[in-house]
Parts: sequence; structure tokens; C-alpha cells
Amino acid sequence: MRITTPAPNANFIITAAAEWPSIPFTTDGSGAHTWNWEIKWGTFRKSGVASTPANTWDASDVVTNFGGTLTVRVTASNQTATVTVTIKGTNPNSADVTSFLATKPNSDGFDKIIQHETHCRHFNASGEPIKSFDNGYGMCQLTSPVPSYEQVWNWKMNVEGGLSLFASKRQTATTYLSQSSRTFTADQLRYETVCRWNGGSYHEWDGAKWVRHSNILCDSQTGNIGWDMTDSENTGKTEAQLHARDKGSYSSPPDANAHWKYSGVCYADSVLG
Amino acid sequence: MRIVFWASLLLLTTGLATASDKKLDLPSGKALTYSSAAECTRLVVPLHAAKSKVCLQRDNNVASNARPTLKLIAEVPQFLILTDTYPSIPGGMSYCQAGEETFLRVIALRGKRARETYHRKLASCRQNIELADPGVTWAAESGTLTIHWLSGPKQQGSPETETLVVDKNAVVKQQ
Repeated sequence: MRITTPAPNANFIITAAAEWPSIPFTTDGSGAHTWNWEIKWGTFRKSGVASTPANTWDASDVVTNFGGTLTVRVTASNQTATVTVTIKGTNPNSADVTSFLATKPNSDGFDKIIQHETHCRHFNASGEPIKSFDNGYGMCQLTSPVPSYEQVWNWKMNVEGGLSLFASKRQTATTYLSQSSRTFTADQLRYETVCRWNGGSYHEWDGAKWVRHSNILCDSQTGNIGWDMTDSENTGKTEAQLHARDKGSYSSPPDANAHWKYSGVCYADSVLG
Repeated sequence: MRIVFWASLLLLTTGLATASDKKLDLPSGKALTYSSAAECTRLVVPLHAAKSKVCLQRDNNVASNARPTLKLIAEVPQFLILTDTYPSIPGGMSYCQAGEETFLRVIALRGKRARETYHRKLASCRQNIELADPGVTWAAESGTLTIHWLSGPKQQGSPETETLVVDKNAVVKQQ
């Protein structure tokens, strides 16, 4: 018996909308078939067994949300055959990601973070999920909690994983802005949430309304570097002067003698404009 | 010659360690020093006749070489109440790159050695725990420490308050 389709090493492509392709297997055998399948990518692995009354089976039912190398060993009438194929992905565009997030509650501003950080890219040029140096996977570079196989390959699930972290920050931002029955705008909530994603609060209460922290001056040539202008080493200096003084040390986190810092306020300004 | 060499090396090493230490002045006129050591924050605490070292454990949201910043909440003859704050380990997409992790510590000063009798996480960008303003208040008369969270550890995003009682042996109990 032999597997007639698909051909060995055939590629199956996940669409930009995260829809898995049909992956039909056919043999030249007859009668009941048992399909042992295993899909793996890196340290991720899934396997199982399917049975059909005849010689065809579509693997899409069992491999949806997974990608990598799929190996199928089929048995029928005491004969076996094996074939290996690959499943690869297609990147969505930013409009796809924004549209997807628009259907999700508490996501206002998260699309801007994704665009800013990864340009909505989930797969590399080989069609495999991008992986960062610290084992961050996919569009949202999920590291902790460790992402599931599904979150690594399905960009929508990956975005949902990142969104759960973002929603926690939004909840805290809401609590912060509404303390003492204070009021705030949707715009202020967006800035407060994006700032907290990077770290710290964006606003301070001036006695009558929420305003941006007044002591932070941002280096507009960077994503989230700024200066506390109440620091006597910074007071009275311009952004250009401070940038010229500090830019040489930006390649690593600020040391004990630094007078610049990573700032969530500057991050929000950079991401949201 | 060899003895002179090793003595010089020891002096040099001691000098370097001292240079990296930070100092926290106490209201009593004493001072403690602290620095980042492997996987813990090394605290050198003044006792009556000598100094005693305490190793403060962090958690995995703090980088092993992270520099601490200590703040004193209270100094009483039998113990110190401190907070130590570190930069968060950043996650993907700049998550918590500008964030901080803060711990509360009670350090007993009785006996020959200082020792940590209590610690807990006070604030964390990675765990979404945030103090309110004011975050920690100490009432010396009653020996009570009250923690006010804007986003508490039990239910993230919701305010929480916890009151702790610290006795003269630096033993901490929940009220």
C-alpha cells in the first residue's frame, strides 16, 4: 500500500486569516484505515490516532491551530505507509489585526503596541512563527505564561494571549484613574493603559484633572527613554543636550550613575503619538 | 612576597565591593549598606557591637544582577521595616521594560545576627500588583503595618488593604 496524496514534503499553508488548509490523505488501499499522526515544531508536539472506514482522511480536523512537520503513518489490511508534510503560515496585515482586535473588549490601544513592536508579523520568511532571543513566540512575543502550541502557530490565539495581559493593565488603569470618584476620558484610559504595559503610570492628578506626568521629558529619537527633569543633573537642559550626553549609554539598561531611564510615559507617547 | 600580593588583592577586592555598595542612613544615626549579590540582595546591618549580613531573596521577576533601591519604612530598636525595589525583567513587546518589582521586609535586630523575619511582594509590574498612595503606613504605638493596594495580590485590578502586626521579636502576624 502507498499514500497517493499528498506527495512527500508537500507544503500546506495557513491563510492570513488564520484558517487551516484542508490536508486530505488518500491511499491505494481499501477497507478500514487507521491513521497515526504526529505534528511537531521545535519543542512543541501533538499526536493521535484517527480511524476511517475507507482510504481517505482529512488531517485538518486534528492539526488545526498547529504547524510544523506532520508525519502520518497509515495502516490498512496489515499494510502500512508513511508520509511527512509541512504546515506553514502566512502573515496577516495590520488591518487584519486591527479588525480582529476591534471584536475584542478592553483592547483599545493594543493594536498600536503590536504595530509598534512587531509590525503585526507572526511568521518569518520560512513561514514559521518568529521567536525572540528570550523564547518569545509570535506576534505578541509571548514568554510568560509559556505559550501553548496553538498560541505559537495561530496568530489570533497569540494576540488573545497578549491581550489578556493588556486587559489586566487596562483594569488597573481604570482603577487608578477612577480613584476618589475622579473622571477620565477614553483617550486618557488608552494612554494610561499603554504606559502601564511598559511600566508605571502616565497621569498625575493636578487637583482638578488628570494630566501627563509633568516631570518627564522624552528622548523623541527613542521608543521609551526619558529623563526625570527634577533630577538636578537634568534640570534646565534641553532634549538635544540630554540626548547628546546620554545616547552613548543607551545600548544597555541604565547603570547606577545614569540620569536617564526607561519610561512608560515616553513609551505611550511614542506608541500613541 | 606572596603574602603581600594576596593581602593587596584582598584589599583591592574589599575596596571594589565597598565602592559598589549603597548606603541607607537610619534615623538612629546608624547606616546600613546594601548591594546586589548573586540571586539575592546583600544587606549589612549595624547591630550593637558588630555588623551582620542578611541575604534578601528576590523572585524570578527580578534579574539576578538587578540593582536594588532600599527605602526605610520604620526603625525601632528591635527591627527594621524596609522595602527593596528592582527593575522588572522585561517580557516580549517591551512589556514591563520600565516596570518595577518591590518587596516588603522585616529585619530583626536582636541577638548576634540580624535576620529577615518576614517578606512579601508589595508591587509588581509583571504580576500587576500596585500600591495605592500612600502604600505602606506604620503605626508605632500599635505596632501595625497597613498596606494599601490599588491593585491587590488577591484580585488584580481591585483595591485591597491588609494590616499586619509586628511584635517586639519582629514576628509578623496578620490582623
